[in-house]
Amino acid sequence: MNVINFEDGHCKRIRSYLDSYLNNELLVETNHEVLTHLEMCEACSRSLQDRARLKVQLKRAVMQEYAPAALRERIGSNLRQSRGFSFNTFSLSLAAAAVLVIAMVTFFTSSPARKPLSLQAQVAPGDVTGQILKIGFDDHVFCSIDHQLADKQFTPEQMSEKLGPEYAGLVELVKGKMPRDLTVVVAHRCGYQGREFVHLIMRNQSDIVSLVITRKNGEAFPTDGVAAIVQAAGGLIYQAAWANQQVAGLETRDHLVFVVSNETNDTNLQIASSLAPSVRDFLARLES
Amino acid sequence: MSDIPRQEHVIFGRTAPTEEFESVALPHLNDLYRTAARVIGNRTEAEDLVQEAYLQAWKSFHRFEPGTNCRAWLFKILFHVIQHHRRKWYNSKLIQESDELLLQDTVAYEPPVPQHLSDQDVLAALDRISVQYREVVLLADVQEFSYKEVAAALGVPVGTVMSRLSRGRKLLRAELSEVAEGYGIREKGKSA
Repeated sequence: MNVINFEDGHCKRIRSYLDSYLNNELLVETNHEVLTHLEMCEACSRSLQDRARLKVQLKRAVMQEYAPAALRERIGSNLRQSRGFSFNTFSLSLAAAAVLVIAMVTFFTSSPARKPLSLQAQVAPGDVTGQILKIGFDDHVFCSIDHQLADKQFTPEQMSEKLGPEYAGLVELVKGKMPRDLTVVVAHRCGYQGREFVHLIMRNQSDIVSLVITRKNGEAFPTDGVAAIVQAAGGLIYQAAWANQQVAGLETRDHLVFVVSNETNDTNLQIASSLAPSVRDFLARLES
Repeated sequence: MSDIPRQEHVIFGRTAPTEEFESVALPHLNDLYRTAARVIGNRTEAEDLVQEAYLQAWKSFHRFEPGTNCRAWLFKILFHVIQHHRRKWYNSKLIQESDELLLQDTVAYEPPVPQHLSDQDVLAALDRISVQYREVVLLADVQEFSYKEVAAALGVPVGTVMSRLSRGRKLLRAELSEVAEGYGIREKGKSA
């Protein structure tokens, strides 16, 4: 067996911390000790780089696998059956009352099972760009507007916790690129229509801007003959507008990125262009 | 406090937050499936277990506290289902904690991490390490759960998570080192 000759006991101790260091699980003091040691110890620094590289490659390799579409269908179907079963277990007396309640509810309201979004994006059949941009628009409306998340104010710690270590760095990145009067009020992960989003909300007194990021699920912006494409900041930015909201979208290898706001078209595009290079770099690191 | 208000449909005094469940739980399907697939090593069984985990999650959704970590909650349920499955079919013998600590303390060799290996090599190496280590590596390194969340998902103390993770990573590096040797790649730091 090969045995590494540690330079001294200090190296051995630092290496015992490296796993926890990689997972950001060390106490502040220990973290500082590790950082100080790494600055002057090439061997330990190399060991850390090795571990970090393996962690990144492992994650990339595992994340390449996706659940079969049929499984998603089966789970959805099971949920619906399960819900039906729940109703069958009601007692007869409750069922009788239920019929009455249903009749009354049906009579007085005609609200559908899923409350529609307050702002709707109308996309023509075959408009692939529009369909993709609608993904970001819908999450912005669902979360920022209809559920009034734009009125919240998360602390930096809450934002970091809700985004998780993978995306927590986005908050500082976005802060540095926003116009002075827009502040980041919310950063979290949310879901809409079975899709997960990383969502940052910036606002001033009158305007709400969302940065919405989601993993691709087979989507790709068409590259041929599509209107409203802007070449900006090292890549294409696609645009659309619905219900007084402007949507700008771009893509990386694995992600779709949207900037949605009630700003003017020019301002929204300016924000998207300003964010694009840094966000692209940030996501590229996740994807590498 | 939840970010997103519950979309509850109050029917006959019962609540049926199906939309909310689908909205918060289904986005994690890929993560649950890919983790189960690697832990179990059989895609069909993994599908069944993930499906069962979602059913159990739905049935106990009324106990889920909005605003808490739904993903961690789902993984806890998934590993409960997986452990039940293992006990039922394989009667698997879990590693004793004392053995783990012994292994950790006695193995001083730190295998170098070979470069230029494919993702498939990494996955194959991961599949070869013992499942008790593999599941911790998957939860901590791939899903990026905190030690505390991994401990909660697996029902083990945080100290066990730390020792299994350290040992699991070491085993993975050793496996990859062997693969690299098989390719004739000699890494810096490995003696001849």
